[in-house]
Amino acid sequence: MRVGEFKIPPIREGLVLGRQAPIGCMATRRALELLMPCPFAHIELDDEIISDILVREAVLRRIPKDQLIGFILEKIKPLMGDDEILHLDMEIEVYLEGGLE
Amino acid sequence: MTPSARDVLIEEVMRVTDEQYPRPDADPECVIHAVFSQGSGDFLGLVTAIEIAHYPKRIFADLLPQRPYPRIREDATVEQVHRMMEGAGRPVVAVMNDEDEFQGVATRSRLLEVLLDRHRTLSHALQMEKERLRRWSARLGDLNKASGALIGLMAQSQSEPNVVRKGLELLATLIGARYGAVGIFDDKGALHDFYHVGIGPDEAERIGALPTGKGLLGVVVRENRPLRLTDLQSDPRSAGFPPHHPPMKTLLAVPISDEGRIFGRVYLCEKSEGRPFSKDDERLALTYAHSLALAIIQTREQRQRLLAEQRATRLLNDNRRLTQCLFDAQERERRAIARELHDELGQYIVAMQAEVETIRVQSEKQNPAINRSAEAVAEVLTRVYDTVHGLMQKLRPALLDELGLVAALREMIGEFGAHNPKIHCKFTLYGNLEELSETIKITAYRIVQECLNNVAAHAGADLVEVIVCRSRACEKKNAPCELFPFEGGMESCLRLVVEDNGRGFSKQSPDGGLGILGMQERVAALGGTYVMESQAGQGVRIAVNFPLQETGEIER
Repeated sequence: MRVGEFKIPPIREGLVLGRQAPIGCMATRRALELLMPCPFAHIELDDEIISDILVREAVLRRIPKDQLIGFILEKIKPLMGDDEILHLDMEIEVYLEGGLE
Repeated sequence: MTPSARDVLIEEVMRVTDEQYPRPDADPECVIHAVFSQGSGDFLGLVTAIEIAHYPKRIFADLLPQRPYPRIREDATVEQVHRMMEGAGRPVVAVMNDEDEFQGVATRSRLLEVLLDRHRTLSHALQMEKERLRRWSARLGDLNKASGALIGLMAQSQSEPNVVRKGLELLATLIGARYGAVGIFDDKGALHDFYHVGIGPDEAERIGALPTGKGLLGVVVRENRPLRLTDLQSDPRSAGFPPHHPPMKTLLAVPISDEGRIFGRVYLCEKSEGRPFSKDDERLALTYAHSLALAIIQTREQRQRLLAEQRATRLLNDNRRLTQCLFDAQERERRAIARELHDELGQYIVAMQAEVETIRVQSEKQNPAINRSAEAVAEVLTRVYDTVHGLMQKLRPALLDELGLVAALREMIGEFGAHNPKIHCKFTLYGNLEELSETIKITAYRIVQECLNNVAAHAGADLVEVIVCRSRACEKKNAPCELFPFEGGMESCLRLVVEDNGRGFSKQSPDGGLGILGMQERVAALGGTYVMESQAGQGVRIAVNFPLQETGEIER
């Protein structure tokens, strides 16, 4: 037996929902709203494997939505089945150029 | 009325919230879930069993279609519901009221079911209407036959009682009534005649006097409108039946009228099989009663016309007899004058001629002057004698009495030729004229005489033809029919034609026609036909036809 502490929040950046996942997008969103105070954005996909992406809105302030969708479809979709729900842990570093006057 | 969306709602709808999970095991009959918001209570959409089957473990919020579910107002027609289903590609539509509150669910299967029921109902109604129309058409056919029989009866009989009685029988048969009666009113509206069917003479005799218009019969008369009763004895206006009267329960009474003129009433009792008289019966009876009114009018007019014709025929015959008497008297007078001329004046002239001859012989040698005077007087006497003789012939041709019509006509035509040498006169005779009556002989003679006088005086002709034909009914071929402009066959008759090739005239009749009028009167007095034909430059043709009996007598 392994006993561990339930981590709050259970997910960090987001979730990728398979099209045949047992829990739908709406139920997941409501659960996230109950567990996490930060707002999540809902991205609906027209894809045979992935139906929805729930991602923290703060992420979308750093990564354009299209780039995120492209990344998920290219890198994550091959790894998942349509009945799964995957959570996203992303390390995002943003390099800024410019000087202070 | 066309069904609306509220008529196609299904009962198997379960209301759920968006956060609930489906429970297929608990609601096996429920195929449609109406999903409402857990928080606001707003209607969100519909979830079908098929959608649940795909994701049985998701909450209804995740089962709702991503596109808004089709909604329609509850007063929309089923055609609009169907179009919305077709447009949305879904067999289910949410039905909302005017406040956009959920009222229920319409499905395609329910819609088809309702339409099918409606189709069945309409088909049944149509079938019933068709059957009703078929029965009504059959009854109208019966009405047509009855009216036709009534018209046929009118053609056969001018008797109003016959027409009314037979018309009543036809109407009772048409409506299926066991008893029928007709009351005919006089000009003051009182009952004048009463006819009935269904009650035999013995039964009628036991009942006694005919109804006088009390009770319901009087009501029908006074109110002048159709009356239908299912139990006439229970009606408070009923005066009851006299002893021995058969029991009667149902009644149908209609007026016999046309354009406000009322002739009477028809009463029908006891419809077959104990049924009450229907509205259709009333309409048929009214229509037929109107036909009966027209038949009564026609019969009365025919009767009046017949009486008028009989009066006119009597007057005409009286007039003809008087005219013929006048002509007979004229002929008698002429004959008497002719005889007087012959017996008295003729004898005196002959005596004078003898005396003058004696004077002439005796004075021949002794007194030449007297002799010449005697010869002159003898010549004058001869001319006087010829004049008197000619006058006698005109007044009464002796040959007509002595040798008959043919000889008299030949003599007349011979004298006509002698006096009119430029006019060739042709005489043609068909048949034997000797058996004709004295009246017709003298009439024929006078007509030819008048015609020839007219030709000599007015025609300017060089040819005149006289054709006389006596034909008998038994003679198939006698004179050519085209000679005579009369309709009908060659029945027994005497026909005359006098035709010239003179100047003729273009008017219907020439002026100054006293002679022509006399001819027409003579012909009419004998019941004959007179025809005069003429055109300018094409002469005149006068044709006369006298109908005869086989004996040669005039047909009266």
